[in-house]
Amino acid sequence: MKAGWLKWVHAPVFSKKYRVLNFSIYSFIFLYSFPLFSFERVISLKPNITEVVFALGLGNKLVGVTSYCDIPPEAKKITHVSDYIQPSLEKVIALKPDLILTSQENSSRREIEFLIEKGYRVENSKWDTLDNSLESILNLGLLLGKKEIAEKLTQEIINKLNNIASKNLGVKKKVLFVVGQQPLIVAGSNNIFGDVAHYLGLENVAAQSKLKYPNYSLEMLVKSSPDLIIDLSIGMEGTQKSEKDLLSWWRQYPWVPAVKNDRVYFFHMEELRASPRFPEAVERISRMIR
Amino acid sequence: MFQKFKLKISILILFFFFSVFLSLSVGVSQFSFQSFLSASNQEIILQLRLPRILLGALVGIALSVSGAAFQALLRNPLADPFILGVSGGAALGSVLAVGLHLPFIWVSLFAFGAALLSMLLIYSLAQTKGRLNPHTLLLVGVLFNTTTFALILFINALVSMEDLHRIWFLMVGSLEAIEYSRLALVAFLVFLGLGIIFYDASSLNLLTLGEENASLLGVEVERVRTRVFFAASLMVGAIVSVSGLIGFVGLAVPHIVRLWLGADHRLLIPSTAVFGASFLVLSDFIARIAFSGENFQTQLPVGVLTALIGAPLFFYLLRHETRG
Repeated sequence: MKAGWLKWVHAPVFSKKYRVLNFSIYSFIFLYSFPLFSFERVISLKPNITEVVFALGLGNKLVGVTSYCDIPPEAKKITHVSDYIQPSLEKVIALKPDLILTSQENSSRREIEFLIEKGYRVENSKWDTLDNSLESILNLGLLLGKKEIAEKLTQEIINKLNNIASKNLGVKKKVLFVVGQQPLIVAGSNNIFGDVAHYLGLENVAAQSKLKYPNYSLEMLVKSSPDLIIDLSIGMEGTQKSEKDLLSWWRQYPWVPAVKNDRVYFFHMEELRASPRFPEAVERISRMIR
Repeated sequence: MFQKFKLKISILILFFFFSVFLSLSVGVSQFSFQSFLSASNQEIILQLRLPRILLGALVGIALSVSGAAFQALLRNPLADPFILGVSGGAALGSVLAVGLHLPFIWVSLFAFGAALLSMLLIYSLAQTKGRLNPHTLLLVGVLFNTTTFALILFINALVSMEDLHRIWFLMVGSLEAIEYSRLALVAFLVFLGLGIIFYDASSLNLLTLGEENASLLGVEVERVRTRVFFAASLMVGAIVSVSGLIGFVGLAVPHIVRLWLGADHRLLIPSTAVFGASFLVLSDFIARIAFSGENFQTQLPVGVLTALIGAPLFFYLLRHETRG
């Protein structure tokens, strides 16, 4: 356990609440009164955060990652402290981290709150949409003392995406992003797929839904009449279903324009991470559907 | 024979046709009754809505009739396919198939096989000295259920996140996406079970007087019991394999019908079938429509609706109806 005064340094915000990376006055004082302070033992609990930390040139500071952190390849060698959902508290604590990076999306609240309570420095960030991801990259850059690199990184991402968008002007087609086929779960609002659609010049038919991932009935599928379907469930049940199986399921519903005109595309969801590689994934989808 | 119930029976049948007609003609695409007959809509109605309604009706029949049968056999108002562990066994089978990454057809086969296996197991465990003890059966069923759900949680702990999602949907039940060929198979099994139970309806009447009395009156107690038991399990296995778990129906519907029409099984079994079917069709209709607007564009699990509609109705009847 840390000494009391150290708690001040490591947990600048005292609430037991689940915090978002925010620069309160405490953090501000903390960040700028220790210009020489840098984190040496960082744990990342999200694959995209791992990627960003590497992109900021701080991969060597990472002591723990999740079993899903496969990019860049060096990340695979780092100790695994978590699977996709649950970090193992024992492994986390054993590594004596001075900074733990988590994200809002499907993070396990209880473990995170426990770590905050125990005085570890935990920083939560949001990666659900492109805007939030860019902001989180900037915040991480600020936190890790790599402000310039982070700014350059985000600017690059925006430039690449704008470049893609300029090629897709005037497409104006309706798209449906399918996350799971049976049950039919689609991408609604406030998720990264809205951004993908935007840069491809497409309109997401489920964008009006208040839910992030609504469950479509077959009738809704027919009613929304998407011109394209991008089926991301291909990686989800990877061992179970081939592209051919998935396609034959879609073929049952020829009333959907996308199915009728043979415009059902398959894309592995894990390639669409909110990370510096995001523009490349969008570019690949863009080429696929052109 | 049932002169005094004429009106009530007519109301039940009318209610069934009303539910089916409503579900057929109103949907997400908001067809009016005029456009109901246009060619392009007809295809959607026939290929998307009708199978869903038919499956709903079958699920309603199977769950409520098997509930009524179990209640009569065990002389216990709490008996239903869930409590007796048949549904739990079927669920375990399907979850196992999902966990093993088997194709969808195997999920159904596993569920069906597991339902029948569970039944055999529960049945043989509950036999004491070659005779079936209703109380032991109920106890064995409840414990069997607890065990299956523990095993389901165990499988949950080992599978990936994507499978968890599918398993969750199996557990809450859904009537979506079924081909007519499989629907026909399920219909055959359900009606076979219904036929057997209806055939034994008068024996069930006598069984409710107690086994001693029933056998004095010439009922082959053990034989009827075994037959009805397997018929009910067959029905439940068949529908859990395609629709997952839908709760509350098997428990509430027979009681609601009994409060309304009395406890004569010759009347109760067919009425329960009709009301169970209408009840589920209507619940699924609301589940489809309730949150399908622009702002949500989603559907609710049908099991949520069966409980939300069934519970108040059940309590109302319990307070206001005298037994007929």
